[in-house]
Amino acid sequence: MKANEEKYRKVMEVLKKSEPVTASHDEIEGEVINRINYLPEEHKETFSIFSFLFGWTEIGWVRRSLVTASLFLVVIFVYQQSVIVKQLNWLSTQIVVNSERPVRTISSDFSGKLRFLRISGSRVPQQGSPVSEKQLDMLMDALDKLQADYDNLSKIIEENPELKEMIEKKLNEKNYIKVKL
Amino acid sequence: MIDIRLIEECRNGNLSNFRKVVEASTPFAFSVAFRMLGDEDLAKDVVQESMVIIWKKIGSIKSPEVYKTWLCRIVINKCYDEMRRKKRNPEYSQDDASWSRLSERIEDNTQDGLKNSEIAVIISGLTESLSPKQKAVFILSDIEEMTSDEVAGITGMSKLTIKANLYYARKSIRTMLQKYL
Repeated sequence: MKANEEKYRKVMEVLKKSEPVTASHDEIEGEVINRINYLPEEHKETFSIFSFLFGWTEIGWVRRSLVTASLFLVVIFVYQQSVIVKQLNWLSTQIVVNSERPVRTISSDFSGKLRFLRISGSRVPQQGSPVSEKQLDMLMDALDKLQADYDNLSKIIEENPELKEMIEKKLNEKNYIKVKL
Repeated sequence: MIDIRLIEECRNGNLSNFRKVVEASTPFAFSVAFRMLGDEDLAKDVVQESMVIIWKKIGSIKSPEVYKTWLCRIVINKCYDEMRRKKRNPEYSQDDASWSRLSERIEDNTQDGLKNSEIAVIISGLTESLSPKQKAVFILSDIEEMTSDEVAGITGMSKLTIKANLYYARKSIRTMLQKYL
């Protein structure tokens, strides 16, 4: 074991002493210099163009300003996105009116509420309704019936000129204003 | 070995003295490359390529003091590439005369070193069962006499890995010595 160690140590000593040498140091240097001289043309040119165009990015304060500006833009972008998302969420909670029946002029606050309740259907929140659902249905039925009666009456009057003339006369006498529903 | 001031100048962009850097770096670079590859022509190519890389990137080293480690790292990496290529077309021949010469040197204890061809045969014979990384660790630690910190900086391995690889390499080389001597 010890002999083996000794042999190893001696071999290492010989190998350390035996420095590999080359007679062609000059050849290696010449070749390296040639390669280097050949390279710089493109290397230098590229470097000068790049330094001319983008050299300013190497300036410390410019670099720091750009970093600050980019961070600022990122913050603004995130803020804008959050505002947009918030607005979209708010809009999605709003009522969508989709009715083929034309909306007539709201003559009073109460009738406006009624019309609003009628066309909005189930989208109106329960706590916002001034009457119960059953009462509302009854009211709607009554309104529909009244509308139908009024339409029939108008039709009868239009068909009978004598009756129409008489009614207009009576209305004028009492200074009533004709209201078209 | 290599003048720190020269490296500092080159690092600061003054490459007019780069020839001197090449001149000073070539013997060490060639020694490492030759011991790794065992082939003079390949070692010369590796040195040339390494010096061109150094010329291109010398401005990026942190300080002139780390130049030697950096140079060695480039050379070793180039050697790994060559060894991978060589593995596909192995050219290996053992020569008894070289081992006889080594025995003579051990017994004589003379100061004469071995020839390049003998060094190549002996190192390749001793390290034939080692991986490229183990070979690098062995050459840098036991032949080039570098510290474990330097070897770690060159190979990128941890000290523990270096220790393990060196232990395995020494064990394997002792076995080879019994075989050849």
